[in-house]
Amino acid sequence: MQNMLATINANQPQLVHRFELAIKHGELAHAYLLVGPSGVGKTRLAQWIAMRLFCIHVENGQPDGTCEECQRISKQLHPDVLTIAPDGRQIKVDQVRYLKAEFSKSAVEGSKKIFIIHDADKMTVSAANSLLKFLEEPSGDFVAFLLTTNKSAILPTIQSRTQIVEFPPLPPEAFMELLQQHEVPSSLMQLAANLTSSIATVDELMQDDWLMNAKETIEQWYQAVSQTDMQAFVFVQTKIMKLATNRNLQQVLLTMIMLIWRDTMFVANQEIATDKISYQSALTTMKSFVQQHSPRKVTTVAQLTLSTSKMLDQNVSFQNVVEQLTIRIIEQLKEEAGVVK
Amino acid sequence: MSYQALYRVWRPQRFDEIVGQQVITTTLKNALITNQTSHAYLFTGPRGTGKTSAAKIFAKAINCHHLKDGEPCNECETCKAITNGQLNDVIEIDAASNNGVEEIRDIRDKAKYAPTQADYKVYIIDEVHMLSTGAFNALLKTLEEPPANVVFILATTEPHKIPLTIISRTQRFDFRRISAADSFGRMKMILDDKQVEYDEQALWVIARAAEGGMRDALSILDQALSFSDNQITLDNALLVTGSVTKQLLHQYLQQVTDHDSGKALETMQSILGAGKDGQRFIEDLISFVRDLLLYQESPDLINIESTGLSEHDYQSLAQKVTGNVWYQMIDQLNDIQQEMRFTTHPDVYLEVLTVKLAQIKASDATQNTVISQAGPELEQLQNTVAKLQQEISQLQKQPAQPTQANESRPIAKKQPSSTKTVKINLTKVYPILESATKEDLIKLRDIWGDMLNMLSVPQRSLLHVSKPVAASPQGVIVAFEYSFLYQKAATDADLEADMQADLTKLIGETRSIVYVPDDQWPTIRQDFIKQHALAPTSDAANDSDSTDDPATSEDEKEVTQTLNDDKMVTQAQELFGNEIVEIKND
Repeated sequence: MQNMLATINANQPQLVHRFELAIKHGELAHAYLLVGPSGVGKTRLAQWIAMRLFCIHVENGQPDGTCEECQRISKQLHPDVLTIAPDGRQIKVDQVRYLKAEFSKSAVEGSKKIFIIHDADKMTVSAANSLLKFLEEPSGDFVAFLLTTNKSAILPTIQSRTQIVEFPPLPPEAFMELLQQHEVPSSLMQLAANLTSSIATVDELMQDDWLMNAKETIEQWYQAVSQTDMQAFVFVQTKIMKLATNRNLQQVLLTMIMLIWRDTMFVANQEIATDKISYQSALTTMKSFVQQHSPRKVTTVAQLTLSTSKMLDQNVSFQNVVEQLTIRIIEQLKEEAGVVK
Repeated sequence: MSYQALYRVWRPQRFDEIVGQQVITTTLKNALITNQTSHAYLFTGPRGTGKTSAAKIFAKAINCHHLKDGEPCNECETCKAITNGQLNDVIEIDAASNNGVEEIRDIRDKAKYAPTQADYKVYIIDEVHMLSTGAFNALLKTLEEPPANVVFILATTEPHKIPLTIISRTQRFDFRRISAADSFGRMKMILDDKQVEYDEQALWVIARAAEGGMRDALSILDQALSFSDNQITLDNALLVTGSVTKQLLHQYLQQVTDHDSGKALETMQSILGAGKDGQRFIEDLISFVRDLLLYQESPDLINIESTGLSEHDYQSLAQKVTGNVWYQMIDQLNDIQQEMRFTTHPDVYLEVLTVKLAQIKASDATQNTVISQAGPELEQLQNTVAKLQQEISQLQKQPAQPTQANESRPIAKKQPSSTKTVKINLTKVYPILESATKEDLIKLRDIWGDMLNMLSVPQRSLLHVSKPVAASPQGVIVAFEYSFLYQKAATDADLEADMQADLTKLIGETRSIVYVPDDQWPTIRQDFIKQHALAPTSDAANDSDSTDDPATSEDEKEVTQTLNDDKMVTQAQELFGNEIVEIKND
């Protein structure tokens, strides 16, 4: 509990200060859109504000975190702090209707109500639209926090009704230190840091050595692809699919593929700063690959990998996505070889 | 009373407070003055341009008894009640939440009853694009001929989702985006009224970031206000909008146009590390590049002072790179901007973008003589060329061997026609030519078909378009019509062995086999003749020493003729280049 308050103060001192001022001046707006990569403290900041508003003993603009109100907020039991998160893959219109119904009633205990929408970009079109009027001219006294990792996926009409707060990413050193504390092997640290900035996610990925296995598998796949070896295609079925047991992991795997090509791009541009390359162990493969292909081709391939996660979002099956990517990359590389001929 | 956002406090209450939509407000006012109001309106336009505000003002104006030049008085009971949303006869409906047929039926039923307090019943249906198809169709008849004293105002940001049958029953007004100058003026007015100190440049930053939405502008302004005590500074505005300073953009573009992708990546990372928004970064870049383009056209077109950069900065960039490159950059930026919408890893996109932008020159360098210094890529190209040359000379020295073929062959093949140096194993060709005889050739041609039949099917298909062009007792030269087949054959050791074995079987002698591409054959022969200083005739004589053949003289002639032809051909090739000259044997 205290821990949570300390973390948010340490990680986002600027933002905390900003809201401290806003609350002090009574200038808290009715809707905020909190934007930032996962793990930077969006939820924590929303909770901090809720505590700040409800806490009985506010000291120096900080909630104490021990009183009844704060405890209930941190355990998500407070009746005036409502949270909705995607039900399955999306936030459905019924969830928003429920929210609106809740907010047409006055607060149960205090005078204010707070609602927090996680992954607001996952709202269905009708859910997002039915929020519009509600956000524009709210009936009661409330503060809304919409949390998202991707601002541009939010309707522009919603964006213009909220105050947008961009979260700066966490300082990398601090996160590295945290990774060390969680006993992440040093060979995986950079990769983990590039994948997420949430330590909880990293812990999850580290279970049963998943990340280690995945890294090795992706490296092998990369090796095959970079030699335009069609075995890579078979490899998707035999090795990669075994790792992709759920949707989250699939997304992570795609990101890992993206990262290895991004590394290649860095290598192609003579930028081998150690703090950027996620796959230090594959450096030699990359170097030899880069010698065979023009930087332009490397960039094209890197760009190919970018579109994959979008396809996954559009319900294309993971295996298809990776297989298609494999074929496309190999085609690209062969094409270049053809041009040289 | 809790804090109210600026855009709610400053919602326009009169037509002339709506900024940047003079055409629409004048039309509406005139309609009100002359009593020519329609029964259905459709207001469309991007977010924050005043659709809902206009609808509310219109509802007031049509019901107000103290109309002044088409403006509502905002003082009478009705006006006040409408402003507070308390009048029963002005009904604001959120179509996104009430999008079913049931809700529309409800409207239709209630529209029949006369207004209770005001003169007109006004239905404001906001976000109307969310109505279901059934709901739209249920509305059609009512919209076409509503009862007297009922007015419908539909408002939406997405007019393309509205059925045409609805649009044709309404008067449609398209609200324009609000120009940066207009929102600047409005913000200035509000801040003056609130007695807040401000930096004009900060307001410009906000106005641009709002992209034509007044509500966006005020939301950002609100945020900047809560940031600091009664003061709007440029730093705060940049922080709140996530914009990047022009200085940084300038630095980034400098690095990109220097093709220094490493440095540019660093700059970009420091920008993102400061919590700037990737999307905004791209937008800023586009507008900056646009400024540069305008500057190239004419320095007077842009207001350099308002950007905070010096004339010199613009000049240095504008002189360095041609407009063409800027266009390409804008294209790339646009593409990435589209793709970035759906990602949670904007940093990777931006990195790819940076590298791509830094590569842009490469294609342009050929035509762009301005860039004379050797970039890393140019160097690399030079290295490759040097390497290729080395390989070519190596190839010339040693006869073609299957092992070396894979990498060197394809590269070598590109040059052959342009350079006279043919890396066909001349060392093997010349000895055969030296002792070539007509009979040998005829003999081989006779058995060629038999030999082909003895080969396996794939081998046969490979040799299908080939023919022996010269032969000596020691060897035979085989010409291939298509150079890729030639390459294939040249790398196939098995084929050579098989052919040799078959030839031995057929003619009882061992012959070495040498391949040449058909299109180079004349040149090779010509060179050979020149080198050995043989007159065409003597060569011909050499070619056919058996004089008892009756066709000899004719043969001789033919050979001389072909040789002469070859001379002409080579001459023509010298004059016009190999690509143009096409040799036809008539």
